[in-house]
Amino acid sequence: MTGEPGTAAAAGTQAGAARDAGVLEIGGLEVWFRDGQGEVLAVGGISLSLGENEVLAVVGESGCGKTVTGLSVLGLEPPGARVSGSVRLRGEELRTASPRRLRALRGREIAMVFQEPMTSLNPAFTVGYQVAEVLRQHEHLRGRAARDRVTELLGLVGLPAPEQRLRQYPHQLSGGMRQRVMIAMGIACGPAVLIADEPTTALDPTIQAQILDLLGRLRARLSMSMLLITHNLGVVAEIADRVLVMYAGHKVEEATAARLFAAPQHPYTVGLLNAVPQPGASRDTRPLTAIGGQVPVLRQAAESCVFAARCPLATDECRKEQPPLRQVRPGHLVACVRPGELRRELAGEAVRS
Amino acid sequence: MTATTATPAARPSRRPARLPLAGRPAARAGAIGAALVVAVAVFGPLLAPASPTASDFNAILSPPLSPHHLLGTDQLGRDVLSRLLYGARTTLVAGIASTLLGTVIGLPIGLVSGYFRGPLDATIMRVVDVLLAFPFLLLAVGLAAISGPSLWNAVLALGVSQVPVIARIARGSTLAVRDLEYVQAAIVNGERDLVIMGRHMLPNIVSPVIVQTTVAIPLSIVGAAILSFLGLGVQPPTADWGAMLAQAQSYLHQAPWLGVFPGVAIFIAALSFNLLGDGVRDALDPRRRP
Amino acid sequence: MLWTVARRLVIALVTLVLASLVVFAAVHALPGGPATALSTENDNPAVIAATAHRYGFDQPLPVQYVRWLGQVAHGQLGTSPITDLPVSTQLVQRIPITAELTVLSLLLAVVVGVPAGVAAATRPGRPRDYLSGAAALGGLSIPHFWFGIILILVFAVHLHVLPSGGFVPLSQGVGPNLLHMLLPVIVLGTGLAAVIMRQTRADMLDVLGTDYVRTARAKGLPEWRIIWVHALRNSLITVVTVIGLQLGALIAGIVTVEEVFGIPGIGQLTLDSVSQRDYPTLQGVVLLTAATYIIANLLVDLAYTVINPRMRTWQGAT
Repeated sequence: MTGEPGTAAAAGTQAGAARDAGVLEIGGLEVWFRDGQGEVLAVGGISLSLGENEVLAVVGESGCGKTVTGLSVLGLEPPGARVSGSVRLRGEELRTASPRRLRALRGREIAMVFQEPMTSLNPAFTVGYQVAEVLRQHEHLRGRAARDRVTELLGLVGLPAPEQRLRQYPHQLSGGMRQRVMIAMGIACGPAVLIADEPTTALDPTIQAQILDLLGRLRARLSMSMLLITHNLGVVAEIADRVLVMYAGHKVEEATAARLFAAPQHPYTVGLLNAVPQPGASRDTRPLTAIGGQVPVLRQAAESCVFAARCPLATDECRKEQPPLRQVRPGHLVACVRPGELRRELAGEAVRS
Repeated sequence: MTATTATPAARPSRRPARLPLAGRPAARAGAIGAALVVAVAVFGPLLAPASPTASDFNAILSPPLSPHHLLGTDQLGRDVLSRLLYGARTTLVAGIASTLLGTVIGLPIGLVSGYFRGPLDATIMRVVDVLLAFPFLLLAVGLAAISGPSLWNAVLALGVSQVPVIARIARGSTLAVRDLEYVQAAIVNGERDLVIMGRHMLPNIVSPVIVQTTVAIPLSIVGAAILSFLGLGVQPPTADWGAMLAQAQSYLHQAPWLGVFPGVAIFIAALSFNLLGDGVRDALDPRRRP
Repeated sequence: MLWTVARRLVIALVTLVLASLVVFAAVHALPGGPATALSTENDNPAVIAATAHRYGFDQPLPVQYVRWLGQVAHGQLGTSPITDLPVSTQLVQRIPITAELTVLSLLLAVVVGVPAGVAAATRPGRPRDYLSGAAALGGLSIPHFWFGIILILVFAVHLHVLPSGGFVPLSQGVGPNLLHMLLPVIVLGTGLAAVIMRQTRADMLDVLGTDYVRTARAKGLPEWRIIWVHALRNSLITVVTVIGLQLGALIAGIVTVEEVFGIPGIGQLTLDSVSQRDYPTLQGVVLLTAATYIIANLLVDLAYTVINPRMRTWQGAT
């Protein structure tokens, strides 16, 4: 079992137990894909706990498995994927649930908003029809009642003139508006959990801010928990309560947002933060540091630290096994044998101790 | 000693370097069938036990497995097997020749049209599209009315009817390649139009045109059979699969085998070229999956 | 949108005119010259002269064309020297028969082809995929006239279950009419069904992998709804396109099926007029067929244009 052997598992679950069982509990989720040459490990034993009314951001670069994790919660992993582990929604195990039960939960208790609003809406049906479909499926609303509710939802997500939007087709709307429609579809039945996969990536920066703002307000208003999947740390800073950093399918760090930004422990997290320009730091003239190398493709369970190949602090100890998650502070987990040694480069500060 | 594979995330490579038809038994079967048909067309007459037009009036409408006549005889006592073997020629020639004709005419038209663009392109395409108004049957009918039905008329009708499609494909590919930099460079360098078209553009448009031929050949084979079946192609007493079927219609009660063998032959020929074509298409376009 | 429709109409009109030019040229190439060929009695000089005068063959070419076109457009297609009936009458008599055959065959092709394609696409790689694929390939490769002959052999000659040909008008009973139509419709519809099935399968496979289908699943919609409402809607346009592309083959099919089964439709008339050298009738049939073909293509084009603007984004939706 990769990622959390032995004592670290106890530490992990201790932290989880301290928060009490969350709305969404993922335990040891593992996903293997098949390609032309065998199997590839996309997610290597992820565990997380999402509490009531909490926003948990899952962060990592493209290809780290965060989207697959989100899809697996809903059972929407691509065909041909081998998934194991546990996914529990309010205690109910989803991975062994019947397809019928899953369908009843999707869109109703757990909803997902996808990355590409352009292609995620069916071009052949009106916006109103597509939002109404969720209501019709789960709450059996039809006709006038459905229309009214859809209009209300479209207004809630900030679309101007919602009554007119009902009859419009996706291609008649801008990217930002389409994303709002997707969100409307997601919150329509008041789900307990909203999984947002890169909800702002495909949008202009100005629109990004608006959408994030919307998500924040909706979370407060609807008491919804959110699993926010993103590679954009700016988004994380805006809206996340806690952050989980993923690399090559493994969890490498987990902490509250404030802690993560203030004192990142894992070299990868430090690298990520270093690569983000600091707005407002007018005296910050240091060059952006990119993390050299590429995400490894794992064809078997990790036998060394997954980040070792790109880590400036890597030692022989690192190459012996994937480090287990250790708690360095209450609520702050790191999978590293040398946590905290690579300090984040703030303007003018020391690099390494 | 890193056990983790440190290779960058790579797509599975789709090199067509392996024998294209290697993993596809259907395509191989098609290739074998097609080769067989071609072989029969070329060598058939050498293997035929009798002349396709020789009538044996003592053995009219003999069933298969009669002495001297493995597949029986027709209403004029002619050996069915021999007629089948000779018939392969006309069918294959009609099928392949017509596609060749369509390509030889259509490809240059499309190439020129796409290369020069502008009003010339529009005019040429308009004229070519008129041809689209005449399905091959109508063309065959018209030609038959004017100069009597014949194999040549059938080939002409089939070939001409394919010109618009091939011209369109050639034109489309030409347009796509036209704006590539090395073509622009050649034009700026002052190379002659003919040279540019021949050396730079032609190799690029060959592929889609070949794909079209793989589709067209089996269709032409069946089309030729249809035309001779309807009396618009090969005329008696020449042996031809379609014509044999036409004659068989009157003798279905007494001699059902006459209606079976030629049809099987056409079916095998069409199927083989279809399978072969599928295989060629898959080999050329990795995106296509069965 | 109106502009596109108008444009297509104009193009169709232009094509019609150009096609008529081709027919006009062909008429002039007929043995004996146009006047003789189109005369009711082609050995009677007086009749020939009258024909020449009516169509204007004694005038300069451009005038000829206009007069000839005028005659043709008004339905004055002459009289058949074989049957002594006006060509237009013959055509009008036979059109409904061919129409019934065509419509029923198209119906069969869609009703069989689309569900088969959907079934294959929803279980790719499984037995039912290979089965339908093989059936489609067979349907594509079988020369349909042979298929017809075989069917006649089995069902009419051996089993005596179905008639071997002929036509019974609806007025004499729907039952007998359909019974006689059964085999011809099966033959004509099978080839088209095969093409439709293949194309539907390919399209469905594409659509089922799109993001918006994934969204539909995330909404918790039942599978049947995802397939038949969301996915198929986008594949519907394929059926229209396929039919459009197959129109030429369909015409050949109609002629052969009418020939094999002895159905007195336009197709049979075409063949008869060729073999009997009945040029007035042949001219009429060719004009009618070409015009129908152009109009059919136009309708398919228009259908495509109407459905398409909404589909503009679907090409990038994978």
